[in-house]
Amino acid sequence: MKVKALIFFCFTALISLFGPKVSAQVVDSSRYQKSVDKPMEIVVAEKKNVFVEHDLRIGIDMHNYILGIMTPYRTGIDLNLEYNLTHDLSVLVEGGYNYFERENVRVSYISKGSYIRAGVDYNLREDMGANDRDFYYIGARYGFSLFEQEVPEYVLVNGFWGHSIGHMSNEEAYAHWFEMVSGFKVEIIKNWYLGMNLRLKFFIHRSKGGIEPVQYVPGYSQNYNSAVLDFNYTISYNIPLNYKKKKIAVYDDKK
Amino acid sequence: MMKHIGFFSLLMSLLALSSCIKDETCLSSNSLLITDFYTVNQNSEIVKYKMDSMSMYIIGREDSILYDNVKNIGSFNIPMADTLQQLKILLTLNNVQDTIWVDYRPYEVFRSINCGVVNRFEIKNVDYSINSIWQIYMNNNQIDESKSTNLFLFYRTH
Repeated sequence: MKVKALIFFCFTALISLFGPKVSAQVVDSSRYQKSVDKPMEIVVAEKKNVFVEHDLRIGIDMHNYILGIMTPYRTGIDLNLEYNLTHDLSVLVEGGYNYFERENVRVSYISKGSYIRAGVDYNLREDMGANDRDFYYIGARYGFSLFEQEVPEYVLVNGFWGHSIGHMSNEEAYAHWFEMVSGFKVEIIKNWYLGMNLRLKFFIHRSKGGIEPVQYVPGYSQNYNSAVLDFNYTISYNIPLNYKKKKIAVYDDKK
Repeated sequence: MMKHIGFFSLLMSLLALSSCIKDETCLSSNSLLITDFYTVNQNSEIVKYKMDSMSMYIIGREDSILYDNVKNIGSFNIPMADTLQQLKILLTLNNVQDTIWVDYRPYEVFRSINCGVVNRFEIKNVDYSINSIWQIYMNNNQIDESKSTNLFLFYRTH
């Protein structure tokens, strides 16, 4: 019995003497540092205002107004509505009404009508900061226009019989086309964007009538070639519906 | 932000300049019915023919002498009226008179804003007297910018 008591005492004494040293050896091991010490630093995460997806933007295209300074024969209103599905992808609808009138000594021509375009934009920026909301994007559109063409007056030049005047009556027409888009949007003040894009447009199909070739298709532009390079200048407003700059924790890997 | 606005303005200016439309070249219109003279020679071959003298005017229109005793002529042109559908032409070929009636349909063709509208003509029928004219063959019933010969007039030489 005395022997058993002696062994227990010695074992207890050994643990009490060497125990802290064993524990210090464990602390020194790199394995233990990774699993225990480092997480204590990462847990310290800042809360920042970050841009939350699902913007809804409404905009107006200034293309006709800007070009109208140089070429006052085109007027109209062009609006667009855009909704961000994800950080990269947004769907949008564009539409409007255009009026185009040209007149010279030989002919006067009118084309007027409405159009709608639908498509997607893909944001190319990956390094956007927490409050950075500028976009560089590429996209695609499908466009459709219902419009009317008319030649209210034309002059036929005939050296022998004399000149005569005629007209070509109003005719309805339609056109489908496809667009490839590339552009950017810059937030100039909170929720207000200036944007510009380039568009390469191809006809998919269009009706053919008496006034052929068609000179202007609303939403498509002047039709001088099989493909048209066009551009738009937009001013957009981000409607703050359910959108908020929320404070959420951001784990910064650089720390 | 200023960097973006500067870039935006520059691109906007460049593209506004690039939006200018190039001038278009307009093909000249044609409202002339073109007729060539032919005949059948003694070997029964169809050959081109040059008229010794020819006069022509359009009946129903004053001051319409288009050819006045023109010598050594191989073809002639009749100007079509944009507002009529028939022309009556009096021909004097080597001092022999003949009359030609041309029924046609003018139709308008829009070309572009810069080039305007032109009339083209579809010849529907040609009648003629047969004093010196042996036969008239319609080669092409469209009078348009192609300016191809419309009628072959076979002259009776013997």
